[in-house]
Amino acid sequence: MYPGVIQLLAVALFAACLYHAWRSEGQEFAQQWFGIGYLFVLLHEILLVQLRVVSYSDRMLQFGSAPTLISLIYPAFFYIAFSVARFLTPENQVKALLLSTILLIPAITLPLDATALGFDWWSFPSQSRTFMDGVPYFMPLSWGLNGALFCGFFIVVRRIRLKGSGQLFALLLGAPLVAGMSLILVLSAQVVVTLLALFQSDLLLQVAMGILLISPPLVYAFRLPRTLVLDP
Amino acid sequence: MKASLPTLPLIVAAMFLVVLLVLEMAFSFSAEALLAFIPAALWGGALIKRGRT
Repeated sequence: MYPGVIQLLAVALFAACLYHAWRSEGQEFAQQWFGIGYLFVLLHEILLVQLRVVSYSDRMLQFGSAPTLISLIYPAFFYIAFSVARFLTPENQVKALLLSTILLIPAITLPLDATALGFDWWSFPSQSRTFMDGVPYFMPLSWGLNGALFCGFFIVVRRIRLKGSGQLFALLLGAPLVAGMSLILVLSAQVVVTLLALFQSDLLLQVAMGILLISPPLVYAFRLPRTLVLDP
Repeated sequence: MKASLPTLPLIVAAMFLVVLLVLEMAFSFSAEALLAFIPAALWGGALIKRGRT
C-alpha cells in the first residue's frame, strides 16, 4: 500500500541532506558522501536481498534486486546521524563519534522498518527473533553498525591526502569492499541476538533493545555520566 | 570550531517521521509499531532540551 509515498519521502530526504551538505561541508564532501553512500547502500541491499535477509515489494522501483529509490534514504540517515554525532561529541574523537552514530541511526531506521512491515513495502524472511510486529531484533543494531562502518571508512579515506580525484577513486574502490564487510556486521548482530535469545526467551533482548534505544537520549537529556553518549 | 546542529536535515527527518506516524495511525494501526517511534521522539526531545540550555 502506498509504495510511492515512501519512495517520494526517500528522494525528498536525500535532496534536503545533499543540499545541506553541499552548503555546509562543500561540494566535494557532498558529492563523495552521497555518491559513495548510495553505491555502498545499493551493494549492501543487493547482498541482503540475495541472502534473503530482506525482501522488497515488487511495486518498489528496483534495479536488479536492489530498491533504487529506497536506497537513497540510508545515506541521508547516515548523514543526519553523523552531523548530530559531531554536535554531541568532542572534536577529533572518532571513536566517540562512531559510537554516537551507532546509537543514533536505529532511532530513525526502526520506525521506518516497523511502518514498512505494516504497509508491505518490505519484509524480513529471516528466522531470527522479531519485535514490533516483525522487525528482527538484529536489524536496528546492524543498521547502526553499518552506518558507523560507512562513516569510519569515509573519515579514514578523507584524511589521506591524495592528489586530484584520488580520494574519490579510493572511495569508489573501497565501497564494494566495505559493503562486503558490512555483511559480517549483520551476521555478528544476528549471532548476538541468537545468543541472547538462548538464555531467557525475549526478556534479555528487550532489555538490550531498551539500553540501545531508550537510554542514550535520556543520558544526553539529563546530563548523566558520560558512559554511553560522550558529551563535551 | 564546534559543529552545529544540522537544522534542515533534522526538520526534514522530523517531517518524514511524522508522515510515517500519520500513515501508521491512519491505515495500519498497530500499538507495537507505534512504540518504534519512541526512541526518535526521545532523541528529538533531548536535542531540544539541551539546545535550549
